[in-house]
Amino acid sequence: MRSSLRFTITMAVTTTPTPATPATPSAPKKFHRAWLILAILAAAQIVGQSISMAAGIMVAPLNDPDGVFGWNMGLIGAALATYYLCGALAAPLTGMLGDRYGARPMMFACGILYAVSMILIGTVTHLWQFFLYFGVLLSVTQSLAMVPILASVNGWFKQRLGMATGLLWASGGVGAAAVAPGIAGLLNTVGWQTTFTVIGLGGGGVLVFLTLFFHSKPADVRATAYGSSPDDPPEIFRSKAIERLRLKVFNKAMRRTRAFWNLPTIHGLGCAGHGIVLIYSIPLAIDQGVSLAAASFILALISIFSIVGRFMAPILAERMGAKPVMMTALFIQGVTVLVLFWAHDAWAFYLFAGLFGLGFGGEMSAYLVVNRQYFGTGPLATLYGFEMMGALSGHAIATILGGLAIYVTGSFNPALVLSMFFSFSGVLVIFSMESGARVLIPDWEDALPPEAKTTQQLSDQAARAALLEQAGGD
Amino acid sequence: MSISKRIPVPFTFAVVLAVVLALIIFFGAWAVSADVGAQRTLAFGLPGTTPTLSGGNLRDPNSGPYQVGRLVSTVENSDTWWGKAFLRACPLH
Repeated sequence: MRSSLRFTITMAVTTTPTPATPATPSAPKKFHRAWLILAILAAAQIVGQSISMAAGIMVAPLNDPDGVFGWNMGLIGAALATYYLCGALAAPLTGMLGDRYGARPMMFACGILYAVSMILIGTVTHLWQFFLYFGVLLSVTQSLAMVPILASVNGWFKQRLGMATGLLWASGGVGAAAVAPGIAGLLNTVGWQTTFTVIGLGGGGVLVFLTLFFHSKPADVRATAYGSSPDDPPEIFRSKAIERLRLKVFNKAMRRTRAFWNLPTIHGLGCAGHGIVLIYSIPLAIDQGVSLAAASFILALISIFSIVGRFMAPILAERMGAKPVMMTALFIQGVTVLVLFWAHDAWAFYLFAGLFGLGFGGEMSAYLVVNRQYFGTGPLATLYGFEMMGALSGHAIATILGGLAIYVTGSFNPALVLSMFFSFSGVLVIFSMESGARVLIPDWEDALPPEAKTTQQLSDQAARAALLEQAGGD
Repeated sequence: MSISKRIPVPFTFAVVLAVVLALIIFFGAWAVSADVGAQRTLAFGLPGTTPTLSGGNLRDPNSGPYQVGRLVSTVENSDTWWGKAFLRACPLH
């Protein structure tokens, strides 16, 4: 162990950093490559969202007693639980891989894994195959799509990260709404195997193709992030050994802050809060006498109104600070559940859906902006992975606790109380957090050996070398 | 390296974790001891069983939230290993 550390540091000492050639500073009116990257990420989001959409739609054919499978809901539920748990475990790992190797190889791996998993799901004949292909392979695929790929937007936008994140989440929401009927239509017309083969080849092919145009960070194509100014120090290319050391020290410094632990906790509480509502609002409406057709619109309305929240929350978080925005979103998510205690008619459920959708959408989308405010522009995919771990754990908790509460009491009310409890607990945890006005670990580089630090001298050296290289080229 | 190896888990994280575990144990033990079986037909609306835009999977009375009947086996919950574990862990049941 000790010899390996010594080797790493020795490597670090003998490596001379080389600068990225500074590109022309971003002209505000000119099309910036970051927007192309954002469009690619939005497409990847839609493909990633199709996994959870497929999960919802495949339950009915799997459960159909007259169909090919005829599995009972207990077994399908166990597979879904496996999917959540594997996803929760995989999220931090995929985040770490993203920080270490960059988002581009993750996108390529995600495309291949997506195609393989979906095609394999099309061939399922035994339950163990479904557990493996869906519960394990697709959960890892979704973690790749949702964590390192999504988090890479952080490096491409020095300014307007809020808008970029909002657009990403909103496009994911719109895409999800469009993908769901598409998958359902395919299942009805061409059957199980062809549907998943088509989805696998289509989605996986799109991801692999987009990898050709995608780059993990601006320095990979000698560009600068959107909003960079000429005064910014040039990005320095370091050896892999030094990058690894810097990542390790940065992550250690992050883990020592309360925010590192509280942010996944908040995401978990928020997801547990809305998870209960998403699962039980329709059975509740039917229980109250609302017709099935009318009740089906509740989720559709929640999805539509959530797009507003998804888009606006990161933008507002960037302008006003993340704490008040996240607290407001979670408070709306929690307080609107009160409507459900007295709702009997369809219009009351629709009113609830609209209001709840705003809070629900805002709860989930501001994390990349919050991470920037707390931890600066460092490699943050690992942190985002832990936040996704919290989110998926929250959904699992919502399923278990909500079900148990309804089971033992025979009423939806305790589950609704739990939902509110989770959302309001999230508000309290946010309230207890530090202000996002300053970066929490400004001195994290102090723990690095001198040759791995970003000193002013090193930045100047890099800038001089870049200018010389540019002059030589001219 | 000035950063120590000790990881400072904040109070809020520990409290939330403890409360969630306590709730699962409490409701789990309640479910085992009450043993209400198939009466609760609306419990465990598993994720993915809520309807899509068409709501098709709710039309089938054997699907989604109406599945508890099919989950029930002839074995008493309190005799299973997980039932015993819930009852042993919960001081209130």
